Amino acid sequence: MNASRLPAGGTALALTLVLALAGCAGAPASDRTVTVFAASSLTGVFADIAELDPTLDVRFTFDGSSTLVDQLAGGAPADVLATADEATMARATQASLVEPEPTVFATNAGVLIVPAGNPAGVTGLDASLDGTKLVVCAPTVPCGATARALADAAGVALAPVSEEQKVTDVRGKVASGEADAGIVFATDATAAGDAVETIVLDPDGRFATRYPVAVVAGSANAETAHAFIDLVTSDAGRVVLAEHGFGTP
Amino acid sequence: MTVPMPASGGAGRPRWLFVPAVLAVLFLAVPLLGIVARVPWADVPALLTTRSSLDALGLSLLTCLVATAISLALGLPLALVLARADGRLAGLVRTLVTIPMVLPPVVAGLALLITFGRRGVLGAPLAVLGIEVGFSTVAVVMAQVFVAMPFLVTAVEGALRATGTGVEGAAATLGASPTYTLRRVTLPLLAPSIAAGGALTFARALGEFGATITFAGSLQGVTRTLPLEIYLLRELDTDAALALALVLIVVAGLTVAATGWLSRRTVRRSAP
Amino acid sequence: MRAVTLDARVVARGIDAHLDVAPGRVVALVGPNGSGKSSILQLVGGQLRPDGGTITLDGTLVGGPGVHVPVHRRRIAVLEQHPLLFEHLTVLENAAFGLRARGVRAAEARARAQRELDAVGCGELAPARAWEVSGGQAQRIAIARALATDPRLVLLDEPLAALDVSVAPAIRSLLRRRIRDEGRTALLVTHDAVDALALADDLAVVEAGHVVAVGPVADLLARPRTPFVADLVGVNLLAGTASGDDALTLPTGQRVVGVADGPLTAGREAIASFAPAAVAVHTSDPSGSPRNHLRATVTGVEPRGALVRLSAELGDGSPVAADLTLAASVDEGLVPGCPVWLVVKAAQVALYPR
Repeated sequence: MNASRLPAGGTALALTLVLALAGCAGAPASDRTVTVFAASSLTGVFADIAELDPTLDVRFTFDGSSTLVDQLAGGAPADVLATADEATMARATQASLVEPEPTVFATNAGVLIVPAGNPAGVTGLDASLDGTKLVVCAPTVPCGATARALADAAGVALAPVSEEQKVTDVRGKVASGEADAGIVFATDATAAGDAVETIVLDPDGRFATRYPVAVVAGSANAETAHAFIDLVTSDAGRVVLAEHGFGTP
Repeated sequence: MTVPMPASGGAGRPRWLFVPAVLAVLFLAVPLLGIVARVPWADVPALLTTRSSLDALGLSLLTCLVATAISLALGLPLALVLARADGRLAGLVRTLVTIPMVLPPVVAGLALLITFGRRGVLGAPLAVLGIEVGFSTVAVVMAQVFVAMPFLVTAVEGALRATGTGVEGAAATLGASPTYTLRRVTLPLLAPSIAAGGALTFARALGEFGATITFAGSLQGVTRTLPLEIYLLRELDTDAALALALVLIVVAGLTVAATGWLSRRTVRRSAP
Repeated sequence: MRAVTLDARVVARGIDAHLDVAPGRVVALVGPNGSGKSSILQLVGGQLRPDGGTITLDGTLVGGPGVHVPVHRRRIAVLEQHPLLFEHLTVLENAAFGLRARGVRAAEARARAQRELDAVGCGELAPARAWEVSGGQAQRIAIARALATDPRLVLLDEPLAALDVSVAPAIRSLLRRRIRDEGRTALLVTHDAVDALALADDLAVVEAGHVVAVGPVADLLARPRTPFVADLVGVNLLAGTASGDDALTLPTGQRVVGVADGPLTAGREAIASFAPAAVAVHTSDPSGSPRNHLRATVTGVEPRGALVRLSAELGDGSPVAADLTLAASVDEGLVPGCPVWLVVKAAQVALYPR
């Protein structure tokens, strides 16, 4: 047994079981079935896009991009991989887990959010942040890297009180008023609704992360996989993406 | 370790029991051995001495020691009171005290947040006074005490109930005041259980993750304890995460072993 | 002044007891299980609070309306079935515990503790750990520990009950020496007539939460007035009405003739007692003999060593026991339900007022 593959292999096994059970329980599988591994931040938008074409039978697994690539490496059966950054997709490409030349279908820009009513009077990445409780992502995760790039561009040094592992934790701490401000992606701000107010930091998307999508190498449903990717990049798909706060290239 | 053989007196066990028993051992042990096998041993010293690892290690040790001390200072009196209390109220308190043990840690974190958070029931008035615990090392310790103190209370209370009140009564008839009895009789007799309960408390505090990340946040050297550091490194630097995981496994193993040794010592002493 | 006065009620346990103890006396509390002996001891010791009444020790009120002196301030010593040594301490530290608890300096306490251990024959065990000693040794050490504090009252709750029969006699004589012979005041709860005789000056009989009789041990045991005491000393007891100087009439109408050591007053309640060994059993009426003949029914036959203990019941349900030889019981064919005649010589029946 290769110990290094144990965690990923175990998860893949569990997934296979779950998917197999789902297959048993549902209607006779149409031949337009496609299994999509997508970054967590795509949860809402991909479900909406899938509804645009009722003939497609799309099965989703949403998780962190790295985790998804680990699962693919462990043999998890999927047809489409969509990650939240190009670096992670590059890892999958290099390992030949996906077909070459992924398509960038969306961008997500960093924004500053504050609790409804903006109690600390934050105006942007500037002196108004002094003495406030700012929460960002850890530099090692995409939203943290974006936050750092935005801060560097603005010429300020961030002094966060917490560096979260998950962007949703940043949003949660701002929405609950525990923190005075946080740097998240535009989509996270959109999803938070009225609980937060958004301050745009990067109107041109210079530091936005880019979401690539690719067909998984050796997919048994390659044709349907391409159909799904076409749907995502279609005009209708772009409208849905924009509704969720994504920018489109 | 000796394998219990059917021949050693009394009714034997059916042999087929060994099949599920061995499976149980494998299921529990193999993942741990998997980590041990996968740890990049040559790099361990370097991985464990990075700034962030040392910060996490130091923070974990500091907060766990403080959390254990607080658990002893508050939990021990609670255990002493509960062990001698009967009735509905005592039962209710006992249940309340046990709940954090079985609560998912995230729920514990949420509970702390809505109580001591900036807009919490107690947090809001405290914030007015300029006291804010969120995102501070104090919050880490609070999360650890919340989830770990119940282990101390239940361990010590159980031991107290098992020993009964006889010797304490004897001390009173000899003229010992309740405080003298507590100091010279009850606590010394309980020492092994207190140490075992303290070790469990420390181990639980060391492993605390969910409540900390929910309530205290994650900042190097301030709130990012070992488990949070491992969680952060997991996706980025598996080797470093494994090396830190190894530290946690070793400390947990030592703690459990110490607990077992202490409780065996208690048994021997109380059975002359 | 009394060493102990007790006049207390505990509703939940059905206790309503009155007891006085003179200084230097040892009083044995005897009575059936659940009669409240231990509760009385706990009232005196302070482990139990009375619902009403008063308790004094050496003339000082220690329990009463609004007053409850806690156990550790009563200057008493308690010895129970189990020695309850402190197992984390050495034997010497155990013996010195009470003195240290009262603030006596370490050196002084240890010297006194060593003397007490010497006095119970455990001096050489001083450095041992308490859990290393045997059961008998532990009880000796408990005695030393209790007496080291110079208690004004010693409460003994069946101190020999948990001991091996081979050890009990030695501890009994140790207690006699250290408590009765040294003139200490003590209350002793026991189930054993031998303990009462060896250790106590007075007997207090407790039944259903009340002290029903108090008197010198020898008197009470020689003339049992309650079924429990009769049972304790192993004699038969029949209550009736005096019908002359040397006779009484049972509720069944039968007459019992015996020997009264004082004159009985006709018409007053009186008691007849006799040993089971004095009872002969016949299946037919041996009429004409100058003895007591009592009609009874066999309720049980149980071997006791070389003898057989036969239990029988008079017409009104009064129990009478008879000790027979095995051969006699077999010859007569005695089984439960048999009607029999119990025959006792008048000279072997003691009569006395109730």
